[in-house]
Amino acid sequence: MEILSLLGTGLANVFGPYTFALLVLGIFIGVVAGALPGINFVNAMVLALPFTYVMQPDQAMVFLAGIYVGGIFGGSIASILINIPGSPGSIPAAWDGYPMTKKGLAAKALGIAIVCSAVGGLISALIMIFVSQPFAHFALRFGAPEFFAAAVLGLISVVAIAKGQMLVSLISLFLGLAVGAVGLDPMYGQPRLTFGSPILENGISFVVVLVGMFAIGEVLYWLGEKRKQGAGQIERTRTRLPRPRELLKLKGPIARGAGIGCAIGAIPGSGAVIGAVIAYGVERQASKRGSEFGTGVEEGLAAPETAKNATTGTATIPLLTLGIPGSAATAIMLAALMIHGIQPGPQLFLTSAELVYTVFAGYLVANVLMIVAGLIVARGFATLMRIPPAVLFGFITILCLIGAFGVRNNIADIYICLAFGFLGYAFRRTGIPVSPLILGVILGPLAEQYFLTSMVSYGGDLTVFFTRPLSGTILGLGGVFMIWSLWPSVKDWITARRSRIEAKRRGGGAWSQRPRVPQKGRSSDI
Amino acid sequence: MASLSRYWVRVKGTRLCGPVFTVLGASWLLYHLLTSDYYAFSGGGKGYGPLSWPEFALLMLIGAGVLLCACRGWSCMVRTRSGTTDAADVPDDVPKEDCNNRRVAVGGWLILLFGVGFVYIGFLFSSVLFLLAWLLVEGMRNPLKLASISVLGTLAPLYLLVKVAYMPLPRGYGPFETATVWLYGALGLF
Repeated sequence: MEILSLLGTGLANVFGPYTFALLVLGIFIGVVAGALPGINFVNAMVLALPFTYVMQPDQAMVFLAGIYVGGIFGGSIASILINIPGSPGSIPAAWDGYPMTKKGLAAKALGIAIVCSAVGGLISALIMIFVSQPFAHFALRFGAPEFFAAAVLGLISVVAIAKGQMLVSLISLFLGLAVGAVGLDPMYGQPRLTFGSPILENGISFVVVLVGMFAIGEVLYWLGEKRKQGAGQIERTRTRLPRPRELLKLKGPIARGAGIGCAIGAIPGSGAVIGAVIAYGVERQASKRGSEFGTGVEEGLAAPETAKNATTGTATIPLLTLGIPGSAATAIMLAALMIHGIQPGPQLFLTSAELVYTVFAGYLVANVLMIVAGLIVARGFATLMRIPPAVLFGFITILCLIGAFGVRNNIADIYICLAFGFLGYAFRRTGIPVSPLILGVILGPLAEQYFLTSMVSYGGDLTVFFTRPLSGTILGLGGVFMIWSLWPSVKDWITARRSRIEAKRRGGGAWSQRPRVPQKGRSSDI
Repeated sequence: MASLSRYWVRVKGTRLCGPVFTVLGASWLLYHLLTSDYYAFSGGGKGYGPLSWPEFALLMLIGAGVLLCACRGWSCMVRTRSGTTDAADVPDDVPKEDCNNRRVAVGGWLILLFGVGFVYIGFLFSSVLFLLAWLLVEGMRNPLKLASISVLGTLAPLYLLVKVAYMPLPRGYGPFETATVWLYGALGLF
């Protein structure tokens, strides 16, 4: 009852005119920044941070929470409409969202993304409100081995999204791990794979790789497409929210996505991208239309979108309860708290309960308002699609280079972005998936940092990852997930082998039989 | 020439070039890593040091590449031995070759030059020139449209980023830097 009473106070604070205006402004800034390729919503939060100096603490946190919630969703708009993710967490939205756009279902795709994101965010906010304090005690048990296990779980999910190109996806993933390892190691500061170059000693930022491979690669791919129609290829798109009946059909993916997103978001360092990718992989196995994923299936869009925003509330739990930011976005929120002289941690609920519940209320209201903001920005973005593609892709190229430069104000990042742009184009031309490489670049350094920390803390004992109950459980879940994902391909291989043996026994001989043509989406041809 | 072209199609059809180059490239990187001055396999008490992770990634890359070579080589052998398909027969999951390579080449060079210009002649001049060239290549010929899109399309992000967000965009070198600073003053950016 006390929680509800405090929540009521928080809601009253959020609906104060100045605070509400800041929340609305924050959501719009977040959605727009997330939607623009090359501009990250985290950049928007960093730029907004100095403005919070003049705000009250609760107003500052509500403002930044608005940018966070809006930004996490905003990247999906560009993912769905032009196949260029605006943020790493929006990568899975492109896998089924963009094919839906190509089928002329852009309005439906955007509607599903908006509603599922809002639902995921609301569920996550509710969990944050009622579970924060008990979670504080549980979260203290998380150490480096658990964080490493969570990162490995994210990497294993690549197996689930491989879609019959297992080895090629793994090559892309391991290449991403190698790219992520370029630079100084996180523990000892040793340069690796730098070839003596001071440019490479700074490492390769995943934002630069993401922008290069997806955005520049997409621009080059568009150049190569033979034109079938004139300018303004993407038709005017009105966002259409799904009807209740359509939403009911998606209740399974939404529930699974929300559960996965909330669980993954609570693990510091995991982030929206791990939640979204795992949710996509799980949904692909669980859904009856799993074999159609990648061709524009609603379930393939609903699950990762729900999971992505479901990470926002639970990612704030470690921040508020332990003072541990789980991502760049929550780190900025931590900075805002410290600017105002507030120390997060278990005592925060005692000393500043009203502030905490105002933030919680802010998340609740932000996820509802995000529907409106998403509709408006998506319509505006879709209007941009009426611009001739030549003009649009010219501006996208400029934004990409600005975004690449803006990460570290480093000129070398521009060249790295261009190099990965051409590599991304080559990948697309040859059918090599790009997403595993990006995941490797994002998760590889995280996994390495926690691995090395674990090895130093536990004397180089590898068994610590399995003997600790939490990390053992997470790795066990990863193993089960991998087997579950691989089983259809193994079953296909066994069936094909049995057919060949049967044919040989019937007297044709294996060599005279035409090799079995691989099925789309479940190809055993690698 | 025709036989070379057929040979290249057959080589391409085996789809072995990619995995082979991957294995060779990763092997060279691993060799570089293991023979570098700062190679120290031991660290943290039991051999997990700063080079362990990239070593693991490269070993796995080599392993996956070798496996892919083996699988594709076997698949190719089965296809040719069965006599029903040619080695150049490309499976369904590979994107079809229907691409305007000339446009890609021209556009690619423009993007590359823009990237270089971004650094050496500054954001302002390089963006205007890039948009002009890009739109000309894409077939736009109306001078008013060309000028307005190029200039306004550069000034808008310039104002937003330099004036509002205080992002230090590159100004170029030498006379370009001087001209950029003068234009910034004229435009009221500082």
